[in-house]
Amino acid sequence: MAVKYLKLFQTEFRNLNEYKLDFFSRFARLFVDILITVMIWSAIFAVTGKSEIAGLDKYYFISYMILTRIITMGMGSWKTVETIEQLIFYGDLSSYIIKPLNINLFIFSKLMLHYLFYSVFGIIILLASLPIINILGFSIFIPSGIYWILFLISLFLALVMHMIFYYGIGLLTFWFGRVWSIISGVEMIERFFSGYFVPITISPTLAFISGILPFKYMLTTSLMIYLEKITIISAISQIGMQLAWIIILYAIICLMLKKGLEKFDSQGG
Amino acid sequence: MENAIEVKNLCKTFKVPAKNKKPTIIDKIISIFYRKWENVDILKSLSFSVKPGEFVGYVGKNGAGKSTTIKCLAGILTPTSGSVRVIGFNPIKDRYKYTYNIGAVFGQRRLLEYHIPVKDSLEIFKEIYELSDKEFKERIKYFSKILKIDKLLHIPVRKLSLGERMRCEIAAALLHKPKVVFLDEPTIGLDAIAKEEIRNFLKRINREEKTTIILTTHDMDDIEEMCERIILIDNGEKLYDGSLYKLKEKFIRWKALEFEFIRIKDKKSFERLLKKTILRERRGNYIRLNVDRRKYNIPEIVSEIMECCEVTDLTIKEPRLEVIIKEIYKDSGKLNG
Repeated sequence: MAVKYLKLFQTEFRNLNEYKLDFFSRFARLFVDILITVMIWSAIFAVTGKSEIAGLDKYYFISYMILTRIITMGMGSWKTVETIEQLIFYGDLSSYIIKPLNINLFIFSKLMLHYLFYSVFGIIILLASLPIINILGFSIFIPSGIYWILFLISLFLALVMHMIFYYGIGLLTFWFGRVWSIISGVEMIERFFSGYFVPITISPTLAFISGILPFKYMLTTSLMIYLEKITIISAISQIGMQLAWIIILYAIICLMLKKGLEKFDSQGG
Repeated sequence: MENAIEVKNLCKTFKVPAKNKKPTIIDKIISIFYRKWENVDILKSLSFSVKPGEFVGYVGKNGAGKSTTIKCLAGILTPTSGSVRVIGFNPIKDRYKYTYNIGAVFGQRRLLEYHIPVKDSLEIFKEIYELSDKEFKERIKYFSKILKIDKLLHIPVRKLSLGERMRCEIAAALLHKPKVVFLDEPTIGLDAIAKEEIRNFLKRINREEKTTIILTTHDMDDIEEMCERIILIDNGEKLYDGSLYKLKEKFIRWKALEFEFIRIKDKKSFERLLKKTILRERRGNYIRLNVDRRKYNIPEIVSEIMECCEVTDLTIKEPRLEVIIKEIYKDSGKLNG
C-alpha cells in the first residue's frame, strides 16, 4: 500500500530534474540573501553597540539568521499553493480521484520531496561551506550530537507542518477559485510570527502571540534546538507541540478536502 | 443479470455567476466585492442503466451534460440529487475500492506523467493498482501487440505525437483490467489511422474482456463503428435510449438513391418515378434521388428504376448519423411523442 506513494515520491524526484534552473536560482538567491542578512545584522550590532539582541549574542544571532534562510528555502509555500491550485482550479485533480489513491497522501508525496530536498541539501551545503564562511570572517554555531538528532526530528516536523498549512491554503481554491493572490499576505504573517525576519524573543508581545499561533513551531522551535538555547526536556516538549499541531492541521485539511470535493466542478473537459 | 451501471433521477446543478445583460457602472463596482450567483441545472433527473459488457455511445451537443454524467459515474463529481451505482458501488462513498474496478480516459486530460518515459509512468500505475510483476508484464505484452506501444515505452510522454500518446493513455487506463471504462472523447484531434487503431482496440477489449464501456464523442463514426446502443441527451435530459439500428429506423426519413444507366427504357414510368421522388442531381447518365421512406417502400422504388432504366450501377445511401442527430435536436419533440 505504501509502495504506491513511495513510487510517486520517486517520480517527483525524477521530475525535479526538469527544474534545474529553479534549483540553481534558488541557491543563488540563498547566497545573496545570506550575505545581505549577515551584513545588515553585523552593521546593526556595530552601530547599536549591543552585545545581544533578542537574547542572542552576535555569534548566535548570525547563526540563527543564516540557518533561517537555509531551512526556509525548502519551505515552498508558493510551490505548494500553486500545485494545489493547479489540481483544483484546472480540474487536474480528476485524474487522481479516479485512481485508488488517498488524496492527502498522494499530494504529500508530490510536495514532500521539494521540502526535504531543498532543506537537507541546504544544510549539507552549509556544512560543506563552513571553511569558506570562516575565511569570510564569520563563524556558525554547530550543535552537539543529541541536539543534532532533536534538531533533525524537529526540522522534519516543521516541514510537514508548513506543508500541511499551505496545503490548507491551497484547498481554499475549492471555494474561492484562485488563491494565488493571498499567498504573499499569508506568507508575510507566517514569516513574521515564525521568527523568519527576527527572533520572536525580540518582543514579549510577539513571543506571546507566537506562542498561541502554530507558526513558531514551523521555524523557531527547530532553530532554538539547533542553537541549544533550550534544554533537552524542553526540546522534546516542543517537538510534542509540533506533533499536536500537525494532528490539528491534518484534521482541518481532511475536513476541508471532504467538503471541497463535494464542491469540486472539475473544469476543463 | 444485475446492471453494471444504474443511474436513477440523477441531477447535477452548478453555481455560475448570474447574468446581468445591461450592467450599470454601479453594478460593475458592486460585482468587484459581491458577485451574484445562480444555479444552472446541467443534469435533470437522468435515469438509465447499462448491462455488463455493453458498449454504449453517450451522445449530446456541447454543454448537453455528457462529461458531467461521466464525471458523476467516475466519482469525480458529487451528484446534487439522485443515485448512481456502478458495479454495486456508490462512486463517491466507496471511491477508494471502486476505483480499482474502473478505468477512464479524458481526451483533453493527461493520465501519464509528462516528463518521464511511458514505461515508468505505467510502472506507477502498476503500483497504484497493486498489480503483480507477472500481471504487469503480461499486460504490457498484450498492449504492445495490439496497440503497438512497444516502441513508445522508452520515450517521455511529452515527445509523443497525439495519436501515440492516446494509445499509451488508453493502455494506462486499461492496465488493471477494469470492469467498467469511461471514455470521454478519446479520439479527439486524432487522424483517421489513429482513430481506426483505437476503435479496433476498444472493440477487441469489449469483446474479449467483456468490459462495459461508455463512450462520449462528437465523432459519429466512433459511435457507428463501436456502439450498438446509443443514449442521446440534450440539456441534461435523455432524448433517446436504444439501439443504433432502431434510431435510424425511427428517424431516417429520406434515403438517397444514386444510379447510372445506359438508356431509359420506359419514359412514362420514368416520369412517374421522378414525381414520387426529389431529384437532387442529374449529370448525363447519372441521377441522384431522395426518397421519402415514410411514403414509399425503397425496394419497390428500386424495382421501378430497374424496370424503366437499363441500370449499370445503383447505390442506396442513408444520411450520416450526425445528420440524423442534428435533425433530432431540431425537432426533439418527436422523440418524446
